Amino acid sequence: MIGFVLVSHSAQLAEGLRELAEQAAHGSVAIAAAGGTGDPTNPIGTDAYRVLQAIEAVYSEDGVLVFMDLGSAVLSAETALELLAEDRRTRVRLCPAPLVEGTVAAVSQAAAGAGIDEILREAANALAAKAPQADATAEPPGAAEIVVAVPNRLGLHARPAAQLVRLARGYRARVTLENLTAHAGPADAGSISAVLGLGARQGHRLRIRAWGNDAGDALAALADFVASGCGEGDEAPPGAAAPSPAPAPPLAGRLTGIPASAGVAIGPLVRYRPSAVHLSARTVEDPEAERQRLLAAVAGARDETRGLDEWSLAHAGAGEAAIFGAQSLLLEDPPLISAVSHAILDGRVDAAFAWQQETRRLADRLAALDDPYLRARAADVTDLALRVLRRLTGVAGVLPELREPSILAAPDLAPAEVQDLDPARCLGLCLESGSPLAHSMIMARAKGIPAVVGLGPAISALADGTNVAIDGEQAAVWISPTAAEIEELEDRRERRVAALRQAAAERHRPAATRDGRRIRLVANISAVAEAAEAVERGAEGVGVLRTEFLFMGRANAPGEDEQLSAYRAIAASLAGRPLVVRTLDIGGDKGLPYIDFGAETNPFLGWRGIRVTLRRRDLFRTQLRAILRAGAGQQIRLLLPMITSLDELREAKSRVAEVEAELEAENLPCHRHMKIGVMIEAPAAAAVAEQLAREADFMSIGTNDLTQYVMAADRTNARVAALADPFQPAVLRTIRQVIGAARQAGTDVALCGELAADPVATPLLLGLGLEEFSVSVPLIPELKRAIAQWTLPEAEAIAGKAFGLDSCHAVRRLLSSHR
Amino acid sequence: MGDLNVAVTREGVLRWLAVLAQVFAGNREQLTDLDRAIGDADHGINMERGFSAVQAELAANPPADIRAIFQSVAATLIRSVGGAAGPLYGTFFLRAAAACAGKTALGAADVVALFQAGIGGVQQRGKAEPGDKTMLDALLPALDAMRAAEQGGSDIAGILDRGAAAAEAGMLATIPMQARKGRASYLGERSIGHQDPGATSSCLLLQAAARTWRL
Repeated sequence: MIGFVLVSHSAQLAEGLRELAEQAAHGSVAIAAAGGTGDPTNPIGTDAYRVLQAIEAVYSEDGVLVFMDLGSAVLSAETALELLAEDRRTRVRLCPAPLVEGTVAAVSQAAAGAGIDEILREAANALAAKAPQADATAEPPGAAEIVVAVPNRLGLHARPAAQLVRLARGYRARVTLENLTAHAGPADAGSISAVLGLGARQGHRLRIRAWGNDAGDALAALADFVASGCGEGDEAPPGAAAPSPAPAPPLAGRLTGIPASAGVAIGPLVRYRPSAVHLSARTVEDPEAERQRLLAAVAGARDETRGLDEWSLAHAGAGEAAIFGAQSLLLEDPPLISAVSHAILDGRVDAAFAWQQETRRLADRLAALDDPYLRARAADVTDLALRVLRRLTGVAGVLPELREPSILAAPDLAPAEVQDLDPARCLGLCLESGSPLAHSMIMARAKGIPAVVGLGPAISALADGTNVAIDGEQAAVWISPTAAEIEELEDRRERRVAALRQAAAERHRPAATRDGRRIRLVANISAVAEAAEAVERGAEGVGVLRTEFLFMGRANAPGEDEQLSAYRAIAASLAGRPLVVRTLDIGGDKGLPYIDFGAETNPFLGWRGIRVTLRRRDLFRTQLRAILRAGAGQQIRLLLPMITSLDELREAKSRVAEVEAELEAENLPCHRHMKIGVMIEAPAAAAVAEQLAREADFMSIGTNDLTQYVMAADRTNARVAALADPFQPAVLRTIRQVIGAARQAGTDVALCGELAADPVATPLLLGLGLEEFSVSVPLIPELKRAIAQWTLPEAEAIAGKAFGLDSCHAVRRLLSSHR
Repeated sequence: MGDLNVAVTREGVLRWLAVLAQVFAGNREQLTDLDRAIGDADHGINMERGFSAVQAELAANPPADIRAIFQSVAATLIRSVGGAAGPLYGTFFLRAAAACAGKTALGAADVVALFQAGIGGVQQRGKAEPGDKTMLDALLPALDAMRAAEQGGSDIAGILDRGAAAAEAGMLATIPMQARKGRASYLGERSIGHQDPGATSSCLLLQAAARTWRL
């Protein structure tokens, strides 16, 4: 018989609850109350020894469940467990359910003969029974409210809805919106699906209500946002926000997307729509594990969507990026996630089925709305649903058989699907969404299949068999190209093939300037498969292995063995070429479900990079063990991200030394005295570069972050993004100072980041004396050619002139004039 | 490092606990005032009651060795403190006791091991992270400083001086923080601008050790 212990700060509350629970148990369950301190002068509180006594009193081999109120009750219960004999400890479970509802639900289940897991699940859901009566959107007293009319022509469509949700989430107050004109809501202002579901259009009156600490501020900010036109004027939203459910199929013309894999291809279009796949429910043994799988898949899809978001922002416009922004909000939508979680836990069905059911319901709800702009969001939901499904099931459909060489159009593709493509049959890929950073596109590049992603739904509106041409570098797709266009593209393809042939012949020739100065050209990679691709493209090694890929899109940190095998596989692909492994660089805009970052008002100035790993010793130790072990007999070096002071470098070095000693004590082969380098990303690190250069074995300048920090400009903020230009004199001077400090100390210095890969910047960087460039894999052959164009004296002369200029535009003009 | 002439004995440990009883009696009002701003105004009273109960228990049942002393302190604090400080400081001394098993005197490395075990226990029990505005904001920097000092070859006095100084800096650093754990977290932004009472009592604990174990 399972025993129950009730812990409360108040002895009376614990005793009263015991009476209530006894009634539900009909005397068939042992229940003990452990409330208060037992000290008459100071009765309110908890006492671990009283909890311990209560556990002993109701202990049975079937187990004991402990329910607690809050704060020190939880701490005391845990302390009681520590004081309990070890063989008994494993049979006692602390239940996080709400004290009263959880206890009554659990005791009822126990009296009915349920097992401990079932009881825990019922207890966790105990509040659900109450929710329909006391609706979560029911309004506690003291709400402040305001009514505003929606002034802008398109109402609360995806982009303004996403902005509004972000705004609302920035306050602690609870905020609801109600559409008084359409009688919809109230809806939680923190939920994108709920806000979109209001169907708020031009002229509709919205009631905004808020309560809590900063209700007044929240109300003022939201009312101001709506009343001032929801962040937009009267014009139609640009790009992808246009009514997309049924775009007129263009008969001819050009579509532009995002470049994902270089090359030219011409052929008939074959469309692939994996959405028809039908899943049936599967019963699962461990619903909680299934729920974790769902959360990991959602987190992975969200990171991918964010990657797309960043790309669009940098290369398209803020308007299009906001669409992906709205998509990633949908993936974090609390009502959606909790509906799917409940379906899994209550119905014991698999995550893929539950996810498909709930996302279909949401898409149907949006599709039923009056407003065409909101109806178009149903397609967003379907797209997102597929991204997650693909992660859960591996493949989401069956690829069509390509009978003749064709160009494949699809909403998105899974890596496994690209793996199956035959480059002789599949000439090119056109994807509605997708990301150049996705694993599937890494594979497309490895297979040499040209690809353009982010084309939007227009591509799927074309008929099968339509003749199309794509240029992966220009990110362009020609629909029914004219004879002249075909001729030009054929010409370009031949030139490209010739250039590739030449590059292939030259790829293992080391990079050098025209006058023979050797330059180390290495790759930035963030996947195991990219290592082989890097070698294939002629990289002399890996300059930065971004290890985040091992940590993202999952519910727990990867273990030592998993990391070890990934690092070993990469080292094996490199066949003796040097490998620089960067330790986990998380924080800033990249979070992980198993690290609590708390609420940071300014995450880029917050807990990120080395600051996280020095505190989370467990994570750091595991990663260092894996890296040092993988380094046995290999040319591996260690790179530390976000260093701002010597103290951090010294502390990290002492951790590495500890781990090395530990491995030696365990007799595990490892790399002794591994070389340790620092990333120069913060102006602070640049300022003390000559000190760092004396204690670090090498330095790597990360120009993307360095530019943002030097210019104090966020490149994802469209209003200031133009300032975040690496050709700004302030950034160039910082880079010059770091390279100078490194050369003076005789320390190796590399430059990674987009500036290194930009052929416009090549003479400038060579002229500063940079001898190592670390760039993403596809750009290696081109950069090798760019380096070979210059002699050192030419490059030095250009750099000298560039440093005499006083604006980034002047620097760019100078460099362009020399190309 | 662990020079046998310079070590904390059973008597040294008892002296530290006696000093702590005086310190918490003397700082009762300060701790209670800090707790009134962002908590339930009982931290000063709880700490005074806890450590005076420790004195009474140690006098009534004198434990044989250092480990038994810390075990007795842990049990007394858990029983008598009531609020969250009871299980947290109780766990501190429980783990400290385990770290001192079999020791008749503590050298420099043992003192660091004692604090490392105790602070690890507090971290595990409270599940707080640095920056949450808790005891750990004083204790973790103190531990880092003590370990660094010990590795640098400092003696016990040097180690504890560094630890106490780091704890004080950590305590002051809680003033601009927004609480994310415990009762104070309910206040949200209004917890900003107040020094955390838990970090303050933790700092007092280290300062007392630094003063007492100046051998």
